[in-house]
Amino acid sequence: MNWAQLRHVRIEGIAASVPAQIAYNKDCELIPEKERDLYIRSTGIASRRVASPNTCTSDLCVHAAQNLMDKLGWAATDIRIIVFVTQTPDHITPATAAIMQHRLGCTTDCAAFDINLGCSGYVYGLWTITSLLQGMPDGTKALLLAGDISTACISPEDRSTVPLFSDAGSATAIVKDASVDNPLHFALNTNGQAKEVIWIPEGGYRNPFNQDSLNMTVLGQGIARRPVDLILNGIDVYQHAAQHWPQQVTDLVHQTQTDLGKIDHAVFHQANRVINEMVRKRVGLTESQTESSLNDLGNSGTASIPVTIAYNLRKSLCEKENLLLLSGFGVGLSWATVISNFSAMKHVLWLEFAE
Amino acid sequence: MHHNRPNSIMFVPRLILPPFTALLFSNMTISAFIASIEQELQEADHCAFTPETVLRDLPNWSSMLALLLIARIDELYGVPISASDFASVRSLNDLFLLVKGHQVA
Repeated sequence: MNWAQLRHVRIEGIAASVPAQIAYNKDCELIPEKERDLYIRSTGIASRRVASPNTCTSDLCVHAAQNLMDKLGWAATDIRIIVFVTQTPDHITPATAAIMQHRLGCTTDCAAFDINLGCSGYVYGLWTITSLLQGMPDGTKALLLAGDISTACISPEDRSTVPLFSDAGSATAIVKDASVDNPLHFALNTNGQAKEVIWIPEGGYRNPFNQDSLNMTVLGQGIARRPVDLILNGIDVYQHAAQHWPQQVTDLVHQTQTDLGKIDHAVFHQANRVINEMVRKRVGLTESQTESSLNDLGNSGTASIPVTIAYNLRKSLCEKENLLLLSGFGVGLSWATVISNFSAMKHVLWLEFAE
Repeated sequence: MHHNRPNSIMFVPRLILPPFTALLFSNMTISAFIASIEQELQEADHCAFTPETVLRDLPNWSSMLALLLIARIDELYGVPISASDFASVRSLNDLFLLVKGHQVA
């Protein structure tokens, strides 16, 4: 197992922001009417949030960050690190973290960069910021911004992606605090051999955008896409997840000698009900320990862990210390888990973004 | 994955295998195999299933059912089937042989 143990940080708050517009899978015309009920039961996804064409991931993350900083009394001028994790940046270049450094009103005394990860990315982002803060002065403030507008990188005519994906942005406020002795335990894995299980074939520099990149190809009933659209092979995602995801979580649970029954809340990336139930059962967690927001909020990619925290746990995380298990698996392929006793947070916010 | 475990404090066991995996699959008949995935098959059609039943010909067959079937087989037999393996499956007998082959391997 590839793992890390880090201390001396405190999460002061988490905010999630979703677009106000709701799409219902019972109305999804890509799925034949007779199959919709089974689809909704199986994926666990009844409705999703969809950003308008004018809204970018940064808009949702800035909205979440501004509200959170406001509640916490954090001044933008005190932010020293911004890490942005996404599959859907505002531009190919420059890094969206730099754009948000300016939009949030931070000074130039701020390190800011993007991480190109998706469903595992929130945990990778926590590990990155926690690691970076080790070498910085006590009280240093950092923002982990994680989000996706996945509905913008998929074909609107692809039933293998449209009814799954939801849009969201999030902000997590993290501060260096040498007095915090609770360790965060991370496990981090990658398998690039399976890069084509979830990918966008064209539009980068290996297969550049060309005159055919917008040609729609019909691949089956309800599946048509362009070479610049996201491809998600659901069966292979399941296969790889079954082989690796619960194993990583179980290894970290054993490594840290964690009593599964003492975990207050397990928050997994919200892939779909089939995968999430497989992981929950194999790890050995109860339904009541395991949070889900799939029904209302679908799969919001990089943001799905903080979105589920903000939707389901905004009260309980502020009341007391909680032993949390957070874990994501997805594009890369990449998977990551963190287990830690998180002290009571000051604010956990659930926000809707008015477009 | 289990090499170079720094500061290893205890033996880390592999995941406990799903309950049916311990059964000797080689002794299982195709009818018992079909019975074990009956719940998923019923979503595709309310008929009697035979080894010759072709999955894609079932009236309510869908890609979602393929995923449900694969997840169920993985749960019961500890065999996660890939998309390319599943693409070669036509009949329930093909599926039976695929699972059996994976288990032996």
